[in-house]
Amino acid sequence: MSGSKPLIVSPSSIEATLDSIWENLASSQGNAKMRACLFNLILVTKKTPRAAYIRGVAQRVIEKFPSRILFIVIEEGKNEQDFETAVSVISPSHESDIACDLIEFSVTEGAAERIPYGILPHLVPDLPIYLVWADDPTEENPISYQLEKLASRIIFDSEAADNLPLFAKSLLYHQKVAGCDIADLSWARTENWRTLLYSTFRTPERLKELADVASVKIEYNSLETTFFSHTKIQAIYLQAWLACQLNWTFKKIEKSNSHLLFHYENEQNKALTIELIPSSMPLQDLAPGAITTFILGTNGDANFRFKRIPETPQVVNLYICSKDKCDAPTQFLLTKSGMGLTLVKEICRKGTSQHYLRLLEFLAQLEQKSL
Amino acid sequence: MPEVITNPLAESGEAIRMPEPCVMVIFGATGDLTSRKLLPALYNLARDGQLPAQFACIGFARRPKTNEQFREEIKKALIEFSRTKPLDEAVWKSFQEHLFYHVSEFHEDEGYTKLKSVLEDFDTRLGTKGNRIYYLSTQPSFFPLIAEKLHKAELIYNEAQVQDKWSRLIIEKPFGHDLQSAHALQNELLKYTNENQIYRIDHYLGKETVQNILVFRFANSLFESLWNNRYIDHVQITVAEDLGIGTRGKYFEEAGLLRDMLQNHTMQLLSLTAMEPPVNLSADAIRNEKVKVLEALRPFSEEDFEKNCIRGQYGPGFINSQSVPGYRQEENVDPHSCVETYVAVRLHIDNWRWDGVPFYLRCGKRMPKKATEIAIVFKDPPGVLFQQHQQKRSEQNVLSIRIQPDEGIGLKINCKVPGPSSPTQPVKMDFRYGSYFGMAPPEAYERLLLDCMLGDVTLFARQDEVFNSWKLLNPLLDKWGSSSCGLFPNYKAGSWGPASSDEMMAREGRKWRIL
Repeated sequence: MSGSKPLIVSPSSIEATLDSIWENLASSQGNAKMRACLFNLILVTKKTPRAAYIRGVAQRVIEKFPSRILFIVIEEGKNEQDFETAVSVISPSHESDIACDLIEFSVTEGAAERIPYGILPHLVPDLPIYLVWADDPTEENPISYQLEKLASRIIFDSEAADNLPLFAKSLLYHQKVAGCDIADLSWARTENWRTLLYSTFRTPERLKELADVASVKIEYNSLETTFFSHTKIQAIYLQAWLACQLNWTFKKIEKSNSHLLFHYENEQNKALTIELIPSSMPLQDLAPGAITTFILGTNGDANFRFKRIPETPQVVNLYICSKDKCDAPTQFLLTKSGMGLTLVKEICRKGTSQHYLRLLEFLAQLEQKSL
Repeated sequence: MPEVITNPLAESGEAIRMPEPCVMVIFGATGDLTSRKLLPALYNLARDGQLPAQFACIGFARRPKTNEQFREEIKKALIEFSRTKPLDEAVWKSFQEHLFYHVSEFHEDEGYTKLKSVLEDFDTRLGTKGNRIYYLSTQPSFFPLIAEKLHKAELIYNEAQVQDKWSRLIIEKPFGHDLQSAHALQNELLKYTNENQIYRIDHYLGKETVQNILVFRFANSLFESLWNNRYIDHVQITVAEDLGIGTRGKYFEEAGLLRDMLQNHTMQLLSLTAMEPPVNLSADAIRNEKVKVLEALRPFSEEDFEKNCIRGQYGPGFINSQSVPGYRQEENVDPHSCVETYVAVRLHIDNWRWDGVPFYLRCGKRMPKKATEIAIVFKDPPGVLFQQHQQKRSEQNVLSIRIQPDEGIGLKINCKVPGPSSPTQPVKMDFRYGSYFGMAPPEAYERLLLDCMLGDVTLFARQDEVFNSWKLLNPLLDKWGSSSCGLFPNYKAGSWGPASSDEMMAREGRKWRIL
């Protein structure tokens, strides 16, 4: 990552300072870059260690999509009226021909109400406005409504929420009130597994077996980091997506140790279970919460086992066995879901995923204590 | 018609617009307009060699002052407000010799008699040939009085009798404060002048980007062929200012935003956007077409008054994150004032081209940023492609003509995101004046003052333009004047206006653009 050093400026000098940085870049030999902007990306986060992660996400985004980034960090619990703004020009790399604007707002909680007025003059007209709300949307925030009104799409991160059912309810409410598209980084992180399952179960024979599921086991990487502590979210999302799309009726959840057992009934009123298991051997190279193993058994004794290869976690081996035979294992390459890439995926999507909305409705009916 | 002198040294087709010798008398010469706009415009014309050598400017005002004091003040103003910096001492030295100050009350006959002798002396000494421009930069209530006194002192010529010299009157907006007063003012002025001697100035028309609307529309077949109700969904015209009313509280309490910005600037932008191609580029051919648009505007219905005419007033808020007072807290403003600082209206033009296409106009003070633009929002393409796997249609194409700042033209189009799947993403093609043309465009007043010296009325409003504009807006003024303003203030300074304005758009499935 390269670019100019952030310059602290008064809010009224933001555009003029950016213009002068660009002029200097253009006149300094070898540093000339093209000013690019595909959309406005507003990121809002509290001043916590996670803010550094969100900033890193923004930097990854511009590698794919150069955009005007408005990065807002709110310092909680301070009633002072501090409102500091800084501008810089950032580029994916020193060699890159393109670069884009970064406008940073460091604001104390006491001055938070000024934020919407601070960013309004700096949105690039005609281009979409994506709002990454990196904090828990269930917490009351005086500026969220005003920012959401501006957004073409709001991208949440359930990792920031402590109460998943409440998070789901909140998102459904936000979608209804703001009337704009919503997305979720954790949902995007499961996309590679959803695609894998979709592509595995697409022949009539396989779909028949899918309709006859008796049990599912999902293992996930339970290694927590500074930025990620809710590691079971992706596993919960994946099982809920299956249940919603296959029209299973939810019955109950059982908790034992750190395992979660979801009880359902399928469309033929047959009972089935999905077990979520924290990985006993967390994979260091794998993002926290990532699914490591997915095992699906049918009433007809067929068994589908998807397992990441520990040495190359991006590769998944699929073992399929029926009562009579076992197929030779096949390998799949999962698409990367690293920092920033999931956000890029969500940005590219049009509209709000109907699958995701169904998932939210499902999650909203659960109780947090059961999770 | 402007006098165009063909330069034998220039390539064929090129021409130099050089005005005839003349004197410009500015009434109200101690006001802000003179120091911030008029004299800097004259200075820059002189600097660019566009003023005739036989030129003089006289400041006419009540405050006693010598020529030297006046020149000193103007020099300071030029250093601060001229578009070209630093001040060119050589140009200034020559320019200041053509600047004079004349002390008089507007109502005193003697002041005009003395002015006449000064002017005649200039004709002899400076060779200004009896040509006069009287710039009325005063309160509108003085317009008839000054015209009368000028006429009485024989400073305005009867065109039927005098053909070897000319006299012209430039009048600042607003021309009247409603339809009746506009007619009354016109009748008063016509007692002493002819219509073709009156130059109603609206500085918006002097802006390069406004003039470019005609070039853009009629010199590019690409866009003009789409410029109709078959392809255009709606048009949004925005005139937004981040400033409040500053020291103009007294004026604004009488005028309000509708008179200050909607009736003139915004309606001019509307007529240029919607007019038919003129038969030629003469002033009257262009103004005839503009008037036809104004005549075709559908009058407001009772329902429109309720739903499609929104007024607002700013309360305290934040501009660039700095707190600013509300309108009612401004200097010289009634703390219970019902004067509007924001107006949004939906208009329809009942003609062949625009049938069914709404024009949404909004103007406001204390908006998040200064921005004037015309946005042509095109209809969605037929929804059979690129929507099959998506819940949403692609974004509508938008052609945005930015008048100020950052003058230019943008075109929003949809584009495929690279990769195997086919999501679309809106992107923008952008033309910026500043990037393409190295030279800074002249200030609006430079162009307009030069045009007046040349006798080119194209960029000045004709009486029927003004009357038609008032004719449309008068019932709205009456309606608002006779009804409660409700819950004023209804928008925060630094926001894009009241919620009711967004609701007006939302009812029709549309949104105001975020600029």
